[in-house]
Amino acid sequence: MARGLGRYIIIRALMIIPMILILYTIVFFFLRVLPGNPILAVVGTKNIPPEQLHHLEHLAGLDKPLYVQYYDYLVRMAHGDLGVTLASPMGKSVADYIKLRLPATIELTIFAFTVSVLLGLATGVLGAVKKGTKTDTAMRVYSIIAYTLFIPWFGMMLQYAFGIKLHWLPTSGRIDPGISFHAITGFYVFDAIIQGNWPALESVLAHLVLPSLTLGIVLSGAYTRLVRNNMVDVLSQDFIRAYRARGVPDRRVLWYALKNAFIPVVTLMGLQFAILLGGAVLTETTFNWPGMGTFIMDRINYRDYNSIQGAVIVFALFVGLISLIVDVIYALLDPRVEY
Amino acid sequence: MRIIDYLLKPLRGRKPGKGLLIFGLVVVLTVLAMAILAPVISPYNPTEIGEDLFAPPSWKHPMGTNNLGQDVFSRIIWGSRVILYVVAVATTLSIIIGVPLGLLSAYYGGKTDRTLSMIMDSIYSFPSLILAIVIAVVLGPSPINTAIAISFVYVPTYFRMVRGQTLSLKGQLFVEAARALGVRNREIMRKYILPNVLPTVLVVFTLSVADAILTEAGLSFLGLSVTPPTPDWGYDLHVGQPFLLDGYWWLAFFPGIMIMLLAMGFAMIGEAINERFSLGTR
Amino acid sequence: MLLEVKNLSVYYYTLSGVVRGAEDVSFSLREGEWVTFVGESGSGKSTVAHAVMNLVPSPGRIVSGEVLFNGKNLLTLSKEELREIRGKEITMVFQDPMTSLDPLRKVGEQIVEAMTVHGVPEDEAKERAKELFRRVNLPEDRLEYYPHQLSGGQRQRVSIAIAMAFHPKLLIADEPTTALDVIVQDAIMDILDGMKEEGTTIYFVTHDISLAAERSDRIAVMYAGKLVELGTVEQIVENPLHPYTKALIEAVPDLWKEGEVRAIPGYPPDLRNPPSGCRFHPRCPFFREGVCDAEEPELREVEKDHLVACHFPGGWRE
Repeated sequence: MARGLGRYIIIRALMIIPMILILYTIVFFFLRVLPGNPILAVVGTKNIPPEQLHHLEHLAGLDKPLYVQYYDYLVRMAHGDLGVTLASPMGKSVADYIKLRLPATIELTIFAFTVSVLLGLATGVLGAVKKGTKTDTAMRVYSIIAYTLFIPWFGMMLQYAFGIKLHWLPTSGRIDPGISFHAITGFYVFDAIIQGNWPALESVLAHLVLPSLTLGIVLSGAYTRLVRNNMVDVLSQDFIRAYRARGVPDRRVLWYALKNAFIPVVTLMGLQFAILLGGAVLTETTFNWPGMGTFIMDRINYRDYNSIQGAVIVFALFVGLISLIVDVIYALLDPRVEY
Repeated sequence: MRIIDYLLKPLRGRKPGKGLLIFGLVVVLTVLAMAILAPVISPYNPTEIGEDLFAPPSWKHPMGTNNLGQDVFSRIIWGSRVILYVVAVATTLSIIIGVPLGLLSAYYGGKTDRTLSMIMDSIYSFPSLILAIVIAVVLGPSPINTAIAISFVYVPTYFRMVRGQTLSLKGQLFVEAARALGVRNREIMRKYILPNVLPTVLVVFTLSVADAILTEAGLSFLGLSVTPPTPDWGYDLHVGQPFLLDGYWWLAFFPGIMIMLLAMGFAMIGEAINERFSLGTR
Repeated sequence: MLLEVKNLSVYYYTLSGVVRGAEDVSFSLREGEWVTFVGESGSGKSTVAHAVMNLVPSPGRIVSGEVLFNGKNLLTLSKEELREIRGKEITMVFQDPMTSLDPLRKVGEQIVEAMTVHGVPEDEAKERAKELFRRVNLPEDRLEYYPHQLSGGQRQRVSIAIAMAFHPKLLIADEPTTALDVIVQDAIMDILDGMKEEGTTIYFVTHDISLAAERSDRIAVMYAGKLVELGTVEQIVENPLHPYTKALIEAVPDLWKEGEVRAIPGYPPDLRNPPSGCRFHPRCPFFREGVCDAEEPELREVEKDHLVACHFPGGWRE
């Protein structure tokens, strides 16, 4: 069975490649083909000596025909080279920048994801167990309110309440600027722990609370509904009654039901991940979080299309990886899946 | 007219989704009225710079004034136009492109279908906001461009749904029978498949409008949708954020809550319609 | 009396109204006997069977009545006491083998668990599991299988093996063979027969009256939520006293005789609004106006151990 799993993983992994190619092509079309001369967009005015213009164009690889650009970038991408920045500061490796920013986004995403799943499970199970009652309706309303919350607004309200009025939690950044801290991997929580830097850990965790809650609560809404509906389905199935008829205690029956109901939820997690990343952009902007989201927005201000392209590719890769992981987890959890 | 009757049915009788539906309709219709009647009901000119800066909510200014002395309430009223316009255009475009494409692709199958599917799936699985951001940046800030950006991102949603439905309908007996009778493909699609696909489109529509509203708000919050001084909820929220620290909460609060209410309104209608069509045993 | 059911009523509170699934049902079961409950879908036979173990699925609820098992009312027991009885003294086998086993766990785990929850140590349970599988003619290696890897008949045998783990006093079998083919059906019935010989009372539910006649000692006929006739197999088959029972028996096609298959005209009633008086009267060929539609007939003993709920039992023999 293990060899089957290995093959399953490889096949799924290969499917990521076409997806990245397609997204690369779409983004290439929009960023290189449409705008005309991206350099001019960056520089702003047209009053620039032609030699300088040509030099910049050469730097950006824009003096070559489009299809060459397309192919070149592709080859370099396969080697991990995502080109150079086109503006302020110019000529720096995009990949290096991304390496600095990506961990911040990943850390935020992990915490928000955890919040969303736990909240979703709790509210979903509650709604299912109390099916038909006011609690059930309340959970439904919760789920609708949660997923229609506008992330920046919700984040701001939390900032206002907990940061400004109550002074309990910080409202921006990843760590208190005053605390001495040495980043190794870029995952601040991890770094703080392995260095035994407890004041830093405290600060980092405190900074994570509001952004994770904002993003987590908004995303939990989708889970609530699915978990509740699945649980209701599962709870009405014969084997649940069979368990009870055998004298298995109620708590344990509920746990078994949850395990059954959970499996389709795993699939949802994969889909939700894309929404999570989109939401991360808004969250990072609201909370001044130095991650990929704010990176993209910064680069947009400078019209640095190269960086934007690189960032999109990294996002695509990320999404592909996560859906691969989700597929594998699903296959492992459900004995009915064949590999 | 039967459609309206059919849709209004949930309002009669003690059905569980009734409260949701009513709330949703009230909100959506109010905002719609706001947009249509803006010139009539708006107390001030939303772009007129006033002298009374940062005035808290009062009888004179029910939602206060902002950093430029503009009346927030008026900006809210006029702002409804932008968001409704963008979402309406975007959704219409998505449907016009996505539905026929899905139908044709699924019906004729083959390599084209497989390729198209793969492309649509790739776009669908990518974070929609980020893609919309990229497109909006390139096209430039204006409501119609925002609409195009958003529509691009939602085409796969409609495509996939319609394609799935068409695939399952294609194999059903009544379609086979029609073909055996020699009915032309175009007619089959128009008369047999399309009417059966439409209810699903309606459900997808209601569920994705709320999403589209939040995407539009996201784009305008990030400054990619309109240019000042056009009143726009998302943009006003963005402007209002720094002033939150100083305690001037009404600049950010009102635009934000309007976004949320509008999205919620559509979402609730969507839920109610979804229930009605699914006829679940829940 | 092993089991005494008194005036049991079960209603389903659905969105479209209150469905009176079982109304005022009373009967008793003795030790070591095989009683089969027959009826159409919706007759309430499954409902009553589930109610005995207090396992009525929502939106159903037991509104009134008592279920006395060895004198104790199961409906008022504490959760713990009920849990002890379930799976040990009273066990149940369900209709659909596809859905009555947890798809995520190996069948061996499930049968072992059925014993460990009642205090049996794990190794002993594992040994007993092998023995139980032998008794139902399942190869031992199937213990490591997942439900979806077994056939319907095998799955049903697993369920029965679980149900016989503690030599229950009462086994409730809700249409256990309906989803299976005839040959497997026979094998299953044989296993149940074996259990009866060891002293277990079999409470069997089916819509197939010929199956009921095969192995039962007594037959109970249900219609529209009411118990309409109860008697020994001979009494029911040779001398049915309720028009519905008579029609059921006559509806069974005889392999060796020519002739029409006689179906019962009409449809089972909507239990949200059951017919007035005798619930069978709209379909009864012997309907007498003023009586049958006015008053509900009580279940009365007409001859020894033969009870009928009809105003004119056996009235056609005149």
